[in-house]
Amino acid sequence: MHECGRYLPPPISRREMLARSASGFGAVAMASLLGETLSAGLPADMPYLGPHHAPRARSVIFLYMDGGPSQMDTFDPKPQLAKMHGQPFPMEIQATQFDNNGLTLQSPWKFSRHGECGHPVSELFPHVATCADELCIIRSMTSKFSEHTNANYFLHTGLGLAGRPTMGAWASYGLGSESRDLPGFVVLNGGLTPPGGLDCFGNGFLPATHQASMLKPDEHGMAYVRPLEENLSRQQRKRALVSQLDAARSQKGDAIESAIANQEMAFRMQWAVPELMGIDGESAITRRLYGLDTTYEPTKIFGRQCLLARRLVERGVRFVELTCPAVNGDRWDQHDNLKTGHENNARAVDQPIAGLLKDLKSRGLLDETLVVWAGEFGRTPFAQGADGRDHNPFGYTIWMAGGGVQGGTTYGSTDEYGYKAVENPMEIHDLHATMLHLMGIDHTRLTMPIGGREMRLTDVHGHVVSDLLT
Amino acid sequence: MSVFLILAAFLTAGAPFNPESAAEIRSLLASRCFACHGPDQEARKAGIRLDTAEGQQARHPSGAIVFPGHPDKSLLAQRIESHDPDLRMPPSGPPLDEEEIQLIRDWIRQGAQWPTHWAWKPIKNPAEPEVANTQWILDPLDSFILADLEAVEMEPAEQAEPSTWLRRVHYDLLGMPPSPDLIASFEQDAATDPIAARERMVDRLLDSPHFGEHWGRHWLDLVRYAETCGHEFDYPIPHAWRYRDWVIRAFNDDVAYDRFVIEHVAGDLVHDPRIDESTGLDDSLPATGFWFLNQGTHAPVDVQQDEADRMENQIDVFGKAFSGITLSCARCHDHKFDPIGTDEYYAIGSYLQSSRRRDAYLDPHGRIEAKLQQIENQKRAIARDLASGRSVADGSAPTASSSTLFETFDGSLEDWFPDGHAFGQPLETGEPYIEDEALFIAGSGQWHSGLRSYRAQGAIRSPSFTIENDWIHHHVKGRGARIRIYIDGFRLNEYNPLLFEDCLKQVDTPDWHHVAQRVGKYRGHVAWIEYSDDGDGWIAIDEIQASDNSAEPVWIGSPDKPVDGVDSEKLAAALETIIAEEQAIETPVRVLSMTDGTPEDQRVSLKGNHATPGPLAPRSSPSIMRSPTTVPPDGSGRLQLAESLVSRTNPLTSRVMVNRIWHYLLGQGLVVTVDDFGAMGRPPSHPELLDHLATRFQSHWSVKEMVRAIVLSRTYGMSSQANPQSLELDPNNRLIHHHPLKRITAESIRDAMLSVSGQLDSSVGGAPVATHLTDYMTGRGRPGNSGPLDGDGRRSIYLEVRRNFLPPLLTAFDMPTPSLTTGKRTVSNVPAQALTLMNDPFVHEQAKYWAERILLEHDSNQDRIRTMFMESFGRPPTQNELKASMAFIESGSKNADDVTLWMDLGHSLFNAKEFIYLD
Repeated sequence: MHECGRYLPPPISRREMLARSASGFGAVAMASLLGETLSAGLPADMPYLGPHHAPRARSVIFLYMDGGPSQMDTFDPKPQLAKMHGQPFPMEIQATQFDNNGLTLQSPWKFSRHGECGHPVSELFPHVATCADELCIIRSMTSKFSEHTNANYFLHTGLGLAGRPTMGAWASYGLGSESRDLPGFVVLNGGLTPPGGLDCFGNGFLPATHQASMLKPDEHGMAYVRPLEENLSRQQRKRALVSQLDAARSQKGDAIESAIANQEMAFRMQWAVPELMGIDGESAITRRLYGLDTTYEPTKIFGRQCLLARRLVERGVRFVELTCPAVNGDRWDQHDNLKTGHENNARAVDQPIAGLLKDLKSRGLLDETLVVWAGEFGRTPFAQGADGRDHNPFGYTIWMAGGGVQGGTTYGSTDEYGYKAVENPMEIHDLHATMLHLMGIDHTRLTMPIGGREMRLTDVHGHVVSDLLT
Repeated sequence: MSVFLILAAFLTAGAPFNPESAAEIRSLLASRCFACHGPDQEARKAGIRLDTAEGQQARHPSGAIVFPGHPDKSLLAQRIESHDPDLRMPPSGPPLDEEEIQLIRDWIRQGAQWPTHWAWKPIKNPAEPEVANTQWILDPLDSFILADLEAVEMEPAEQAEPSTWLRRVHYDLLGMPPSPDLIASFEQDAATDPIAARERMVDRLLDSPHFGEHWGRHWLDLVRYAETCGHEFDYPIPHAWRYRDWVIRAFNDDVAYDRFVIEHVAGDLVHDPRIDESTGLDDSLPATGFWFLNQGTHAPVDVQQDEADRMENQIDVFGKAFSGITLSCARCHDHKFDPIGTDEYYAIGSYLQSSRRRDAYLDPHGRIEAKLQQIENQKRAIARDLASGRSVADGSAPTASSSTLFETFDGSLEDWFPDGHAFGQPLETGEPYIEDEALFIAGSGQWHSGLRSYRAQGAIRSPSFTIENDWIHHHVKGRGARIRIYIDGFRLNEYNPLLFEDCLKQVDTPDWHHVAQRVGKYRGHVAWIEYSDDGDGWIAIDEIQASDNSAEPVWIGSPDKPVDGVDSEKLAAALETIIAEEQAIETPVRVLSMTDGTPEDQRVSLKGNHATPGPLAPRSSPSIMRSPTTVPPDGSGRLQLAESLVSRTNPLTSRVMVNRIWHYLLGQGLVVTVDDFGAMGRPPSHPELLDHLATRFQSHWSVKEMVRAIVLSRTYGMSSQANPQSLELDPNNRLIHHHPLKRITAESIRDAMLSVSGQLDSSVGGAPVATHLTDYMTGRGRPGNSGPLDGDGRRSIYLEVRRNFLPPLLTAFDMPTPSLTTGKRTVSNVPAQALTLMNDPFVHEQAKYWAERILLEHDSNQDRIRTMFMESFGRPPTQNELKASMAFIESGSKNADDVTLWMDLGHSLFNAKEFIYLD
């Protein structure tokens, strides 16, 4: 029997709250929920309370593989598919998104073993394969939804509908940012906004501070970060006047004070963001490592995103999510033309990801950065039509690397066709619980009281999968 | 615990049990114990329940759980105090702290009284308390506030300055700043008789059409108002804005709140629909649109799950918006804290199961229907006249069919649902009819939308049925019409047929033919069929069958017979005048709304899983509403449900709404958790005041009266500058000794900029203004074209609400995501807000317009500065501010008439905190 979370006493006074803040997470947000006289908001510089236990990862980089890469074609080889290729699929088939199920379809790509651990990796990922010993490959991931949007909301927020806080928002809410000039949760938008839209990156019922700041990997990066004044002095003059006007009111309470502080931070962000985006100072070797010298434009875009991700975690940003760049065809959503589509998508991300892992490692950052590679679901081992694969939430592959996870290992497995998880099935809630755990957060204690319930990222589910951890 | 509790304890030290601390005890036990020892029978551990007096005082093998008067002999006290972690309760989470333990011990010692939860008790009309400082009382509500303050010897704040009060009330009622002229005339007026001046001002503001816009926006938060469905492609919710305009109108017209609630739940069923005087349209029905403002995905693999999720959202909004109860907590298990069973959750679901979504066809003054009835009668008479004496088809004996016969349109069609104006009376076998310019004799019963006028729009819908065959077959003819099967109420296949591609078929052949729809995938699902004629076409149907293959079934009805030898000139002549009249038929106004379907009680889904149905959940209102309902045999019963919400015995509806009004005006509800009046919500800070207001509200259910009473009170009029000693004693203002500092809403920030710049288009209502798209607003469903940067100068409530493309300026300032009821917006304070005010081109543009206007209207720099301060802050600049502003203008390298200087001053005022905060 599940219970709808843990139940805390209803909101108490703000003073109490601050006095008690040592008692755990949620206190800050609870204060803003109950309002009291706080209805005008909390100071932006409210101290965050630190982790529940020693964190293994200071930051997370979430490589979101939009559309659902195929497990059988990437990290979960299934020789049985070749034997049965072209024949009716021998297992019972569950309802699919397009209801156009074809015959058993073998992988068009060869697998070979890599690294000391001998991870089998397909030809789609020649660069990532060179990092095999860093990868903890989970082959038994499951989702609950066959539709992109529900599955995306589920992957990001733990619920298949829009409106809940996304994982990056929870991380920011629990841990704050270590940067004075940059927000705690950044999405580097490669061009493809996931189905489900910006709600995948929303703060839901958490304070708006925790919503994703969307960064485009271009010169300015963030909305409204570029001053419209033709020169700095014009903006400075206004800023000076505003300070004068505000000074008389700064005694009016916390809300005004923190709004003033925010204005200062906003002012700094106008310089901090372009500084962040300016990757010209990176060495040619580094730039090559990320694939910035290639001719394929999507690789360059994703390479830039990966490089910016490193720069963001260097600056103390807590949670960085990357969305995919547009390749010539669709996202990883090959309902037909699997071969071309997956090759284009893999080509866009393979070298940049390998570059990121190597760069983080060489800078000593990989130990404290958790890198997660995941789509919202996998794909069917039988064809959709002749040469595509439909959505498959019943068993698929994701991987993690870096801070606190055991590289060079495999967890769980699917059946001989790669259709369903059979050994150690893992839920999205388990992934969330484990990610939070690595960041030093007990997923059952990072909560927000809403409608009489203590809401959390893992809803009423989730287990930390300790087998994955070092 | 809270300051309130400390004060309450101070008030009642040594006194017998204070009923107000009962609420605290309940909150505490609810939050820490009820999950395992509460109303949910299945989750209950050790058979112990603490949510009822019987449960608390039941004998347990190891002793009394609660032994009134004897904390040491009570298991409850022993277990919460235990130092043995195996025994200590609660077993998870931190142990209770000393204060909490003391609270429970005191409660037991004083007799462990367990009154009914305050919110479930009937509303009382408490006597106005006596106060010492009677001068302070302007409205009886002030006595309740002052009595509590006097009891703890706290001083209320001074009254706010007239200009401060005016700016506050202007924003609180209209969501926009007062003009300098208004301020001047008010100050003059107030100098002679401040109280009368305030009354006149409030009456004037309540009469403004902008009142409905500002208060309508509050309401839209409660019903997760949006104009698209979100998810992958952000498909539209057609006609949603008609509901938005309805809300604005209803607040402006001060529709009695009981009626307002009834119309939301069952405006389609009221016996006396309100007719809008100007348009002649039914103005009760559009309120039901709120049911369908939910998000939606386009191709659910499990459509029953999808329906269950849609319904949960509808029930959640229904429970919270009107009653402040969290009904949807009882979807998977009995409510953990409040006495709401899963059967009661699914009972509300049964009302929805018995109802359908409908894009209604509203008829101005009934003119469309009147005209069409007349035309139908004329055409039938002409047909009879022309056919008389001619041979009539002899209905051959029905042939046996191998398929399941669904409908022959021969018998009673009472369980069908005709809608709109296209379909008149069905044709009976042997009846003559005119189609195009020919005469036919109906070979069997049929429903024909061409008998009235091709211009008419409408639909007929079948009763609900369970799909038991692979195919459904229709015998139809028509032009520009369609056949649609709704499965589990799913409608988004309108835009994307995936998984439902056979459910929607066009009919474009004017001879009788066979249309087959494959539905085998949905065996066992509940469905209904719709034939619609929404354009200048027509459709006729005479038979529906179901079978397990696609082959055309044997139709049992006889074919229609053309009547030969009709004098076509005579027919044309007879139709001529009618055709002319048809051109004058108006187009109906389509409105998102609810309508009754086939009455059907659903089953409880065990553990919330629709695949494991439990017992039937017959329609009834939740027992905590204390107003039982009846269900008519032939309808959904929504009207009776609606009436139960506003019955005198219902303890929630009035309390919840006056608390919302208080929250919007005073910044914080008497019950802080405005959407949750259950055990997990906060108890009221002023329970008697809440009941006093709730009683007053019930006398006319007038929102405007209630708003008027509150804003004219001494309480509302207090300064935001607290008395220092009161602030020391009660820093959280629980006893309301000053007016809180409030930030204006996201919409008001934008509206204020338009207002001061002179760019505001103050027209009311209408289709939404297309969303302005920035480079950062990307994703599927992105509209092809961006709307204007300034939203055509319309107020923010008229900007399109696309779930996947919400306006960044508004979301930065906490416009809520439209997913759930939001009675209390977050008021965040984040750098992105400052960035927006600094660098959003809209803000710069409005500053520029403002500057241009100021330069045009005023000559001296001082006048200009004074006006800008008056317009933005509702007061003149102080000496220092004037000096600083003059310096700003004059120290620039530019001529003082340069527009950029004034634009920069305006932009600075937009960025000053005072622009977005109210004293």
